[in-house]
Amino acid sequence: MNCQQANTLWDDARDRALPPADQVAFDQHLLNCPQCAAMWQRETLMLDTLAADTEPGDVQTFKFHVMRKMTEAETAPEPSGESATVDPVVRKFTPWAVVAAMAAAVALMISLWAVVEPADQPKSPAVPVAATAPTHPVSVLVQDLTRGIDQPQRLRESIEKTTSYLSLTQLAALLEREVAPAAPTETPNTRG
Amino acid sequence: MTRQAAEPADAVLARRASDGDREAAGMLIDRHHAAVRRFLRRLTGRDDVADDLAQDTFVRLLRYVDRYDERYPMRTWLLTIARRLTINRARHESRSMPSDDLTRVQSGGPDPSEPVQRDDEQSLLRQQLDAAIEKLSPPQREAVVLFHQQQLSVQDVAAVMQLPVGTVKSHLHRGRAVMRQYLSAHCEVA
Ligand SMILES: [Zn+2]
Repeated sequence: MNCQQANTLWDDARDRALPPADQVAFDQHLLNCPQCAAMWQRETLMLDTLAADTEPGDVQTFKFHVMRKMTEAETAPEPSGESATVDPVVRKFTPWAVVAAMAAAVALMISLWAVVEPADQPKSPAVPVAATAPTHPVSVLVQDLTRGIDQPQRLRESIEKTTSYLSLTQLAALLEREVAPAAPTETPNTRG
Repeated sequence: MTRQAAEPADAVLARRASDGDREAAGMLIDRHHAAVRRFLRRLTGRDDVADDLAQDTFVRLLRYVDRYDERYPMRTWLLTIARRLTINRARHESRSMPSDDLTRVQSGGPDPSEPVQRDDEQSLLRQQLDAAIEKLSPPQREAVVLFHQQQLSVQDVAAVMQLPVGTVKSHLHRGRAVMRQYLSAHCEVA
């Protein structure tokens, strides 16, 4: 087998689709041809690198943004067309997104409280950050939540600002421990 | 909160999610987010754009999860949605788009003409891979990424790309040939 013949079998060899006899001949050529062997090895390395592509980041943050978008799908006014009506499934998931946002605010307040409060002061339940720093993103989010969600765009920006501070692992733990048991549920199979 | 000892199947989670079970929805995201995000990162060349599209993919999944056909793998369905959303966005953002082709939303890949400078072998490989993939046409890139990164069968790649198997093979083989050409031209193969 010469290089040109090997070339015609290359892709089937790569896909492990060669008949046994051809496979033997192809392997034999690689053993005897340094150029083809080097290219085969280089290509293998490259494709293995593709298969081992870096894992993406934190799933909690990702999940949070999915649920935020679900909330937006419900709260944002839709002009017309396919998405004009709120999907019932979206409605069902909305409580989670809202609860997640509120839990995020609580978790943020707790964590920032620990950071902002001077270490030499006793840990007293004095005045939360939200009450003394109304321009802080956390405070803004808390205010938005307590006022009610009537400005989706503002709420979205507010949540986005605060998520850069928050470990969402902390949020997940908080949801499990504090919020999830009290979360509102809806009767299944109500979609019409 | 208790978890089942055995992981529930995607179809079970889909039914539960369809009934508004947020834990099931979260488990579907946990299970499949990495595959979708890795796929989209290769398609778009940008992590931020890819993650935005991946989020939209899962929003779409959860909105229409009651339409999930249990005969097909969930991941194949997700990748089909992800690909379609990417094409739609590229169409929206680009002035001239070639028919049904997928064009990168914005090219964020490295300049292949730049010499490779990193000495770390893994980084070098990764950089060469990025540059080689940049050389592929959109269908070639999709076929190569679905087959080699996602490890789908040619039949499943065909289902995601909504093309005949023969056409997918052709894109896959041509794509790999382009990558070999890049290796020959830019990398020491010896
Ligand atoms: Zn040879």
